[in-house]
Amino acid sequence: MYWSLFLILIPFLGAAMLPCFKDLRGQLILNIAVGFLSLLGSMMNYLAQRSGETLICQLGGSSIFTPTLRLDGLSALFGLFAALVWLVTGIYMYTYMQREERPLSFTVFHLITLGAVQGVFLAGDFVTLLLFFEIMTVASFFWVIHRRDRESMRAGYFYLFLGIAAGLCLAGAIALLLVSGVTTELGIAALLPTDTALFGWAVILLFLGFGIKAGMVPVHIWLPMAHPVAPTPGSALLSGILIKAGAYGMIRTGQLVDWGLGGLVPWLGTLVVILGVATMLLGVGLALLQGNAKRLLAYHSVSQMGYIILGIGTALVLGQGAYGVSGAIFHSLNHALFKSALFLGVGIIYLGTGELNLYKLGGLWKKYPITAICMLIAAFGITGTPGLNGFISKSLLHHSALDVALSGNPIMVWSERFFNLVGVGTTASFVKLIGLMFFGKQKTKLKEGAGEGPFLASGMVLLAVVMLIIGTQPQLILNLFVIPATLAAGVSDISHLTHISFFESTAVWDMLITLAIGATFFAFGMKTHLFHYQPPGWLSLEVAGWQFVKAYKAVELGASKMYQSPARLVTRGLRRYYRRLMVVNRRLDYEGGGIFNNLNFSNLNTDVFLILTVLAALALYYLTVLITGV
Amino acid sequence: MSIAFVIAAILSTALGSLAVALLSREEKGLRNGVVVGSALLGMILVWHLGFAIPSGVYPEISLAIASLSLKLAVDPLGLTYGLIASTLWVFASVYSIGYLHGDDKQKQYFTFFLLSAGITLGLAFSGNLFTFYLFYELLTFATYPLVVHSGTKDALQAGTKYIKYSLVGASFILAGIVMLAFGTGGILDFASLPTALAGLPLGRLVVIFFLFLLGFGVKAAIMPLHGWLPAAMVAPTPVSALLHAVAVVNAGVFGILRTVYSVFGADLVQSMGVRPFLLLICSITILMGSLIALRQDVLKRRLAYSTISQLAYILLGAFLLHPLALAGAILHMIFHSTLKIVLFFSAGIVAEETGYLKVSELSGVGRVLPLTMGSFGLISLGMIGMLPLSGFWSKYYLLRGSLVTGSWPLLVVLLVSGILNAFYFIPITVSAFSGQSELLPRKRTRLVWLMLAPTLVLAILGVVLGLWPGLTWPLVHAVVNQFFIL
Repeated sequence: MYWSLFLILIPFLGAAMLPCFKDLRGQLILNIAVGFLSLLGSMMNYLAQRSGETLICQLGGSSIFTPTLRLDGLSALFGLFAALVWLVTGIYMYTYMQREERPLSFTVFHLITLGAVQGVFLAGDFVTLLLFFEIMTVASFFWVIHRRDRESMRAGYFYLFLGIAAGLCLAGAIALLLVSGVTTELGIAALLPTDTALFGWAVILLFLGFGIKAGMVPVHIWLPMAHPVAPTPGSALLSGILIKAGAYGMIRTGQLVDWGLGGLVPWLGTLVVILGVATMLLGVGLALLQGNAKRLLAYHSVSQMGYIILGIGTALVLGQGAYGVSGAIFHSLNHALFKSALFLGVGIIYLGTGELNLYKLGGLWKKYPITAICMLIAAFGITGTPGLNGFISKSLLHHSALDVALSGNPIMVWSERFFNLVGVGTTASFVKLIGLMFFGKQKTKLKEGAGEGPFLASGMVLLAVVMLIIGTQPQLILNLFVIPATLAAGVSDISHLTHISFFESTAVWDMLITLAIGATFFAFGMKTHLFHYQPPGWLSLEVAGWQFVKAYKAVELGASKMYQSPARLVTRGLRRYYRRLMVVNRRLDYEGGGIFNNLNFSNLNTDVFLILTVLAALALYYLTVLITGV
Repeated sequence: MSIAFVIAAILSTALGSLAVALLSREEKGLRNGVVVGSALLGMILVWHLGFAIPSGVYPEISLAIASLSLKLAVDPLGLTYGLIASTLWVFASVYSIGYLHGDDKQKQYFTFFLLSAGITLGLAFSGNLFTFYLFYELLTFATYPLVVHSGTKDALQAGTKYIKYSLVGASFILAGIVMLAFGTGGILDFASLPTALAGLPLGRLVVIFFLFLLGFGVKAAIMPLHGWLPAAMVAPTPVSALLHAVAVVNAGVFGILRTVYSVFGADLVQSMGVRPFLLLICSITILMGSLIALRQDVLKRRLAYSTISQLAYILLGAFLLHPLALAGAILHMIFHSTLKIVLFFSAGIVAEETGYLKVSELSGVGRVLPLTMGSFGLISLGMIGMLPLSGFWSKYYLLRGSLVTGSWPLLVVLLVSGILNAFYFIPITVSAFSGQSELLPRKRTRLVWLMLAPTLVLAILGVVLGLWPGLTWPLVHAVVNQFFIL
């Protein structure tokens, strides 16, 4: 599978070739071409591992570092969807980037990040994964700061620093893994670490590192800041694919602990479930309060990542829970599709109106019919309407949540209840997004040349078609993609998955009831102005982050004062001592009497005198040692 | 391979220095040729010695003077230091020619520049403590004229500070050597010291150990002995780059590595029970260095504090007394030198081209000097310890070493220090590229490409070593093998 390396190298080469094109259109077409090649390569990857075998290749290397690539169902699937979304954003960029400033810089980093993301999904051990993970963080940082205004710089710093912290966590985790006697290979379950405590810490650091990238509460703070400020293709990819790199890492970590079997880290499952539920609730709660379309979508990314984390958590609690793992994988893909479609749609509206505030938009469906339909499909997808893709993955996750709730453990029971509550919130906020944007009265004037160009719309249509196919043919997709990926993720018993039927009347009714409650809740919220509620500042974690920085600065100031005052005292004392020595020296030189008359110190300066003093003291000490014989 | 290569390597640079001193002030072309030529010759000779590592046969020569003897010997640890110094000296001499173009004290500068190269190599290949001490003291005196090069009041003050710190430190070493010689009956050879020391009372050994630590700690800039290093940043940039990121500070670190492994031996240090204290000092230096660097506005001072923090990483690896940690220390010695020198080189180019010395003034400089600031940004990622830069691998081995020896708090120290590095390095690059400025490139009176070329080559080397860290493995493996039975 050495040719898989080209999947990583071609985007890098493309990025290097981009500046050779003087013409912007030429650059953007090259960008599309690379996206297309990447998709082709990913398809070949998928076909290569079709038979279910795992392909591994080691690239040269040495005793310190042997880069390893690994291709199995899971990595092929994630790589395939990454390439698809990249191609779509590439097509979209053809129109979008002609109206954005500094298109070349964005396009270069678009391609570099593609190579890095493919590298993350193809990595065969944690070190190789970390290599591409760091490149991905740095390259996508330039998306976030693309606008160069104050807000985006702030978001960019948060993104980069948290990304670097994630990388450091992973580095620490790798060291811990090696020391606890486990190999750093990906895709296998760790067999009996020699030191269980260190192994536990390694797993925590892995979850923390990948969790930062995945937008897990409480380290999600970068996400709602960074996603809205990037140019639209960047937002779509950040929300669509890059946070899935975190989810991918979490799934691989789950596989490392054999999904909770063997009892190496018995507390892990419950912890992850709690984190997942917290992520879901916080994301959806804050999303409801957003007026800015992109921020609303960003908070929904947090919330939907919560579903994925919950899936991983329930699988850990159950011990190789097939529903949880497959649900997490499936939901990652679905979220990649609908969230990037939604961001692209919002971007089209933004190009035409220059407005992201939902309360100032309205009645745009006449001007943007294709966008309206595609966004509606995507919104149905994300809310889990039967017939669309989100319903399928949410059903899997719900099965898993129900399974753990059977144990009667209150945490698990409540997590199942919250699961439904989050569904209600999701529906309400998407009714709000679509309703305020496309229906009602038009409030904003359109710019000249506003509308859906063929390039803008075709990408979205492509995504909508894929969503519809998944939604109507779930069994096919499940057998073709998700079950092999679940097997590759280390779940051996998939008998539940092979004869699951999604369109049972109870499940469909449950979902429909959720939708209805959500819509009612939206109407209620609009009437009572609930959505304009501003939570107190201390609740917001961004503010908390800044408070932390402020607190640190205060502590640092205090600490440095505390250090400096004694340090100054010591310095002053030393200086006084030194001056006295100089006086003594001068006396010896010029005013000495008695024995000192015979000694001539005039050619020794004070520094050498200092040295002699030290030596004399040491000699004295040594003599005492010699005499007393200690 | 014979010892003649070692002597030739030392002499090539020392004689080069003599030639520069004898040449007339006006013969610039010839002088530049001699500088680069002799540095290059020195490098080639040391590399020739380096390629003999797999054979495992190391030559030595000793010349007895009264009861003491001057001894030159090759061993993997010395070779590591020699290879780093001689290689980077070539880059720095090319950079210096570009940097000092038009300076009227070039002759003085290059004379001492080459002399310090010879002394550094002598230090690297010293075979006993006496020779080591001799070259260590000589290094202080040979580098003093370089520090005070500009002749301003600040520079002279900094020079005096440097001399005071170094000489007082060296006097502690001398005291240690005297005590040691009394105890062992005159044995000062690195090869036979650890066994000779084994019988001495532990209390006395601890005293000797701390004398050495204090002495070498000055040049290794362990807190609180670091004061001279930020002050010495008034020196010309190539001096700061080579001496205060590579040769002089590494001489201190090298001295401590020698003390721990060649003089006392890992077992003896372990039995002295001083390890927790040493690790604590290193951790404090690592964290405090980074925290102070955060508040520095002058770019070179910020780099100096970063150096203080990073040198403590090497010492940390040395004091952990474990093969993995020692490998980390050696790797960090190699990688930190090659990375930090790029940062200094870039800072020098920025200062020369724009006249800006402060971080707060750098906004928008990246547009004018994209390659310079680009390499700065890339390499600063390596200082944080991010792949694909080489800095990751040394941290990785240090992390493993500290975990294997059960010192898990060091994991926290290393990770926190990594993020602190990010805090003070990243904003420099980001503001350089994103900030607004109406800066125009200054008229290029200097040979910029002579400064830029070494910077870029070393920046690429940082990535190459990051992707193929195994290139350094023969050396590192030999050093670890020298002191631990694997």
